[in-house]
Amino acid sequence: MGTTILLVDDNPNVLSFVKPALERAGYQVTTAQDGLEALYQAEALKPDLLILDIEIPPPNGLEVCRQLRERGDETPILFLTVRDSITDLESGFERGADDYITKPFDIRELLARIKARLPPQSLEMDGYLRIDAGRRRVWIQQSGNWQEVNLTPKEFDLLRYLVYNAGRSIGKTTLLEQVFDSPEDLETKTVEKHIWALRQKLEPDPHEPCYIVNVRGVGYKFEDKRG
Amino acid sequence: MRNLIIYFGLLDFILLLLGVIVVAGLIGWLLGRRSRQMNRQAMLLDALPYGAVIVRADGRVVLANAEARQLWGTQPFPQRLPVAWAALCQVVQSSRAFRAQNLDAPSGLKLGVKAAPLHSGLILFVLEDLAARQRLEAFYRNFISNVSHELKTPLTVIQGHVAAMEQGPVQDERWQTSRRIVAEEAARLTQLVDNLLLLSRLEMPDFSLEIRPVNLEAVVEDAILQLSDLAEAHGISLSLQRESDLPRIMADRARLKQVFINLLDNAIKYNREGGAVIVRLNADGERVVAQVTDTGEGIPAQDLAHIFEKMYRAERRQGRPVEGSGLGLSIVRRIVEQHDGSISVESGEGGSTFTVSLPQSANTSTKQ
Repeated sequence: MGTTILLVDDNPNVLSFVKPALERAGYQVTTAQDGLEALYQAEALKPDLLILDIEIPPPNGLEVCRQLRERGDETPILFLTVRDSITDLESGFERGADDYITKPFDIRELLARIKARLPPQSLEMDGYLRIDAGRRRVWIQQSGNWQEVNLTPKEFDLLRYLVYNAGRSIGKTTLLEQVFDSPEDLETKTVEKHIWALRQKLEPDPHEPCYIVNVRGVGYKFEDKRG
Repeated sequence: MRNLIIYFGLLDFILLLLGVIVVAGLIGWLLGRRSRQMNRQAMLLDALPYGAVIVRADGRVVLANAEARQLWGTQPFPQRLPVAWAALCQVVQSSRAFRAQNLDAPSGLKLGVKAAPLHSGLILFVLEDLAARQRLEAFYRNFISNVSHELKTPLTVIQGHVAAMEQGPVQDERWQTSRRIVAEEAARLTQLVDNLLLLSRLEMPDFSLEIRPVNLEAVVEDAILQLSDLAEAHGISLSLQRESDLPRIMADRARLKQVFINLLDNAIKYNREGGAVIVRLNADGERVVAQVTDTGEGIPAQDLAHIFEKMYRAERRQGRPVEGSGLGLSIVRRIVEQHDGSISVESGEGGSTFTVSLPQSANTSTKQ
């Protein structure tokens, strides 16, 4: 059985584009339109992740989250909300939310956030690239066989960060800050060098990269062709 | 000496009486005219939505309207203003210029007082209850905030379904054009809603920045990446040049990113087809300076002094339509000033350069 997601939003017009997008990305999706149904489905379905709109018929999303955490349910919860003030977000995190995304949102960003919150697992892209985030191993397919690729720890961390944020453009300086230990001692050239090395090891044609692509000379984006 | 005999007949008496009546009538008419004038002035003042008081330069009260009497709180309205108020009279009288000051009224209300010189040495005071104005501003902020939040859900649905249409089978050209237009207009509406929400939040009395060490280069990179699709759609090249090592600055990263998103958004939209936008970063002593330069048509000289005002939109040359809500640059200025920074603009026919100067360590703890 694949990864299951419980998607909770009281607006059927939101469900009608989010659910198919999640299903296309390979997730099994169940929906609920109010707090009571969400609590029932969370208990019955034991999903791998909850996407929870805050403004739903009672109990609202914040209360659903609080009750689940009180029961000892540690399922990752990603809030959908129209509110994005610090106070609104703090109250969500205080009740045990793991992440949030504000409406209106880009579906690619939602998929990236979901991926970042799910337990590490094997990812396979286009029948070419396979990543086991838990065991930190990477393979590429060559001549019909999966060949393991040796990455340095930093190369793997960089790849994982890009893959978890697939579809989003990430600045070189942000990559430096997020992936490397003492970014203030390093230059963005360090990121460029690691990206070059990753492309040499992973891309079918390192001169025409199709997975780790340049964006405007200031950042990179991992193109997840499955999504 | 011969006795002088004056004959005072009935006719003389009647003439004298008529004379007295005429003089008395004239005096009465003059007094009545003054009274009618005063009444007219009083009626005019009473019609104003603000408190209004007319005083002489020495602080003696000539007229006070109903609103002023209510704000003042004591009955009757005093014949002479208290010392602090009279001092304002003298300043206005001697400078013959408008002055504004906050003063306390006996009612306990804090009043915003605007004083302007009138003719004949009179001074007009306009009084406003500051607490009431703040309540009204809070009402409008909350109203804008609530409406904007309500708009976000339908915008989510529109944008989500437009994106889903891209995933489906390719339709004819007309269908694709309609889809693109809906997507663009939804994006514009989203930007407007975001700007309205952000501005109402920045104006909240309890608003404070989330200050932490920030790498300005990373912030600018993020802003460039976020706008790269828009730049591509307009055929504009976006680039970043760091001209020296940059220290980290103490700032609110999310707000600072908004500054550069707004500046870049303008630089792209007001650029020429195939133009360029360059962001230059430099350290200058204890400050970090960012310059956003475009190759657009420039800002007309008469607009330069006003472009940071809320809702102000510069006229475009060549009769092109004006895009945007007129909120972006006022948001920029507000955020930069909250960081103890400064912003300036230079513009000519070859384009504009916005310069943002930020201190390494902003004294923002008490900023609102």
